[in-house]
Amino acid sequence: MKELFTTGDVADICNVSQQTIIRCFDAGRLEGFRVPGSRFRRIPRQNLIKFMRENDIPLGNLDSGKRKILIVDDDAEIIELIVDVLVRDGRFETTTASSGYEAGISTQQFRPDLILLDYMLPDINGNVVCQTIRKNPEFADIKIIIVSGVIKRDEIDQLLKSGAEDFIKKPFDITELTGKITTVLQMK
Amino acid sequence: MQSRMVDPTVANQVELVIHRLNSVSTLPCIAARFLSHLSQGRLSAFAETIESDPALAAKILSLAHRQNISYLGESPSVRRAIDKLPAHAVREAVLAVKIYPAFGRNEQRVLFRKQLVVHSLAVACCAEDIAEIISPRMDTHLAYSAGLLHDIGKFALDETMPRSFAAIVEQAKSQQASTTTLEQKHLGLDHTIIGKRLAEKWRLPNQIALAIWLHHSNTNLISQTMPEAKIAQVVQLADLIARQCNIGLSGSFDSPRFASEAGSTDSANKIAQLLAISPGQVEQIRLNLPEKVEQKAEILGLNSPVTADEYCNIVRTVAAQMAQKQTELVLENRRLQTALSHFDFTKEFLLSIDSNDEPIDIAENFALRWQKFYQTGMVCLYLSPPADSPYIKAVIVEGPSQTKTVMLNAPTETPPVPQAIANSFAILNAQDYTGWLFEQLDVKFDLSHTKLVPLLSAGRAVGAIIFELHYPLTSETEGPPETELFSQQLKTSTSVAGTVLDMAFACANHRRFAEQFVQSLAAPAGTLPAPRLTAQAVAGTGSTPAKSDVLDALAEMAAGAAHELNNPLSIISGRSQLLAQSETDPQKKQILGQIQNNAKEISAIIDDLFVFASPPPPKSALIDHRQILDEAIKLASQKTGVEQINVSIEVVGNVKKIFVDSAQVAEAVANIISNSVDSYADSTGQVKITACGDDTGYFVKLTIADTGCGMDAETLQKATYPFFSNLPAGRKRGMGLAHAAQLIKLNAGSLNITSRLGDGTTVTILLPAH
Repeated sequence: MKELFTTGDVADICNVSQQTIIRCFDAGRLEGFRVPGSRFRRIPRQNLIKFMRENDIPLGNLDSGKRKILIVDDDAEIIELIVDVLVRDGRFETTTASSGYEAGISTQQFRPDLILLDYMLPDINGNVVCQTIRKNPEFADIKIIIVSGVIKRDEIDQLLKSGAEDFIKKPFDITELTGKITTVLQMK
Repeated sequence: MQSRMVDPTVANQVELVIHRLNSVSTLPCIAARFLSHLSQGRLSAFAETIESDPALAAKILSLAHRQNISYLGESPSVRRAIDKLPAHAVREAVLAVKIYPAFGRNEQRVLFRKQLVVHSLAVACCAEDIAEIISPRMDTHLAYSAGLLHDIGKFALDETMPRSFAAIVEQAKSQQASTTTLEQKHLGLDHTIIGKRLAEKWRLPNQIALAIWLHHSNTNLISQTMPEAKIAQVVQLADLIARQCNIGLSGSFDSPRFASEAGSTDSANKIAQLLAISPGQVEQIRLNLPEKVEQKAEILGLNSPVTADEYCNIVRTVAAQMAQKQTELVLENRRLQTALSHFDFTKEFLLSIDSNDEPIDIAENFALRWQKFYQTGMVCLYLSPPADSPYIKAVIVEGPSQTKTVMLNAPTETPPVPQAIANSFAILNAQDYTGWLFEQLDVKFDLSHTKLVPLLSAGRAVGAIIFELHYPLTSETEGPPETELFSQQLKTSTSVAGTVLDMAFACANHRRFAEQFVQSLAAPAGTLPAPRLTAQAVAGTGSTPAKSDVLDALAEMAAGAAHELNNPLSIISGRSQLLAQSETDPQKKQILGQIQNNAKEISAIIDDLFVFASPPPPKSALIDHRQILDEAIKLASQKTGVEQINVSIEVVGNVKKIFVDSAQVAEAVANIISNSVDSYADSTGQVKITACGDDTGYFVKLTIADTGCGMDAETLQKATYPFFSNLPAGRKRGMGLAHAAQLIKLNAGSLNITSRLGDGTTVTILLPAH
């Protein structure tokens, strides 16, 4: 999680000009410090949150620091289980979808860092979801891990070719699940 | 003409000249008549013209003989010959008739020729009337025909020696004599003999020949001994009456009332008497004759002379018409030929089909014939997939011996057969519709020349055919009708193929239903036919549809089970793990661990079943047997949980490399080693592995032997059945040997087990050597 912000970062987060932020900083309304030996201003996270609250600026733009995971599965209990596992881990923020169609909408709105994608969806084959996301350059950074109960060597190869990063077989070891997610997101 | 003694050679020469005569010519005015009847399609008028002209009549009678026309008990006559001959033969004969050279010739001669025709008509009509009176002793048609042709000899003389004949006629006129006498005198033979010769040569009917020959003889006498000469008697009387009436000119100028030469001619009255015709009747005939002949002359157009120009015009018109008909016939003929070749094409296709052929075989057969028949480039025939199937079967024909069958992915956004031709026939440009197909083929079509047509059956496309057409569909020289024709032919042949394929689909479906039905009858409800399954798996590739159906069904079931069971298993396993994480009580933690392990075990069983039902195809490579054994021992160690398996490896001689999928074979060998380890009560007994070449040199032989508990005969028999295990329940899944046997077979090897209870087990594996 980002702990220290420049005036430029703060201007972006608060959606005002950098000049305004500098003025607030210099007037002491936004607390922070100057980098020793230089005149660069730095604002710690705590001070930024305080400043935003005082000025009624929504905190939405401030990165929570958690990695966003979209869980796609048509089985509600599986979704619940994975959400539980990831929330308990504490490093992840989750959203869920139960069909390929919903997955598309959530991807657009939620902008996940990673999608846990069930291969057998009621409407669209996971392969197609994978290809659709990969075709859109906007989503180039989104990682995909396929989750499926069926293992077919050639199908898995095909999925990895379509742009999935990894594959997890159901039933899974929960440490293996978080392990694969953190590896793919390079969190270690 | 000077009178002189006849040189005997003259008669011979005359006979020679006459003999060369194949027909006599007709007058241009008559030709103009029949040509105009012909061009306007007036067939009965056309027939009447023939019937009224001696030249045409002789030709038709002669033709009737050549064509073996039988008069079926009736007397022969021109009318009957015309009726019986095919119309085209009559037309052909008439059109080939010679035309009397009238234009630019002595008008006197043309006039005489006309008068001779009128005379013939008069005799014909007169003979007909006489025959009518004495009917049924004489046939009227025959009498008419005989009368018409009685002076054919004179026509021949006029034709072959016009000057001499003109001179004879001239002399006859000046001497008031009969031409017959003068002909005898100058030529050594007369027109009756000449006529007889021609009648024989042209094969005119006998009775007519008799009339020609004898009509100046003493017919009264002759017919007493020769009843068939009665016709000559009739014609003779008719001749006399006609001459008395002064209708036409016969060329004779003797008085017809009296016999001019003793005994040779009877007076008309005497003949009439002998024929039982009263003088009143003769008088009546005489009275009717002028009008009757006038009608006939009108038919022939004798009274309306044509000029050379008019005649040429008529000939030109008829020629043009004939040319047009000819063109139409040529076109029609070509159309028929095309149709016939298409008929042959479909016929041969249909004859080549066997009722047991699978649709794809029929498709290949048709595509090959299609390429050959239409001289197309590459051909791709694809079949409409069954509902919900994502795959399409297709046949590609690159050349006469280069065909292949491929499976294609069905297009996701468009129907396989474009909407435009799904229910009706049209020729489309393939590149506008079947991009999805070309994308998947590894052969290149020349897209700018590739067409697409449907294979329709009952208004529904059962597939489509794509082909390179290197000749243009629309031809500049042939025009739209030809294109339309070609399109029609394509429609016909594709419909034949469509219908046949549709029936083959139905047939194949019925066969499959029947097999499934028989199977469901044979298998007790709720049990899988396990032994047959194993046999199937060991046999490898599934040689019969029934067996592969079972495997397919099992694979599908396993895939379904994998999907359906692994979700709840995930919940069981995941929830127990979450609970275990937050659990501090070690006993509860252990229990939760058990739950998780058992969920894993169930999942592994499902995976085994899935892999067994649809094993991945081997990816073979050359490998040393030692590498496989090492890998197998490592795997077996993991499987059995025995860290150091007591194994000995002996290599006999020089062992070749083997060509297999090393992962699959290592897995198989590992399963066998695991079984051997498990056969010892304490898992420490020795497993002895031997590697050597086999006698043939084609295989490498691996034997894996233990001296463990061994198996009895019954157990041995079931050893390679899936889920069969001799170990206490719950210990193992019983897939080890079944899977091993299957993997070895997949890699073109074989597996053999020998065992005795208490003595141990030996498994022998043969693997293909390099």
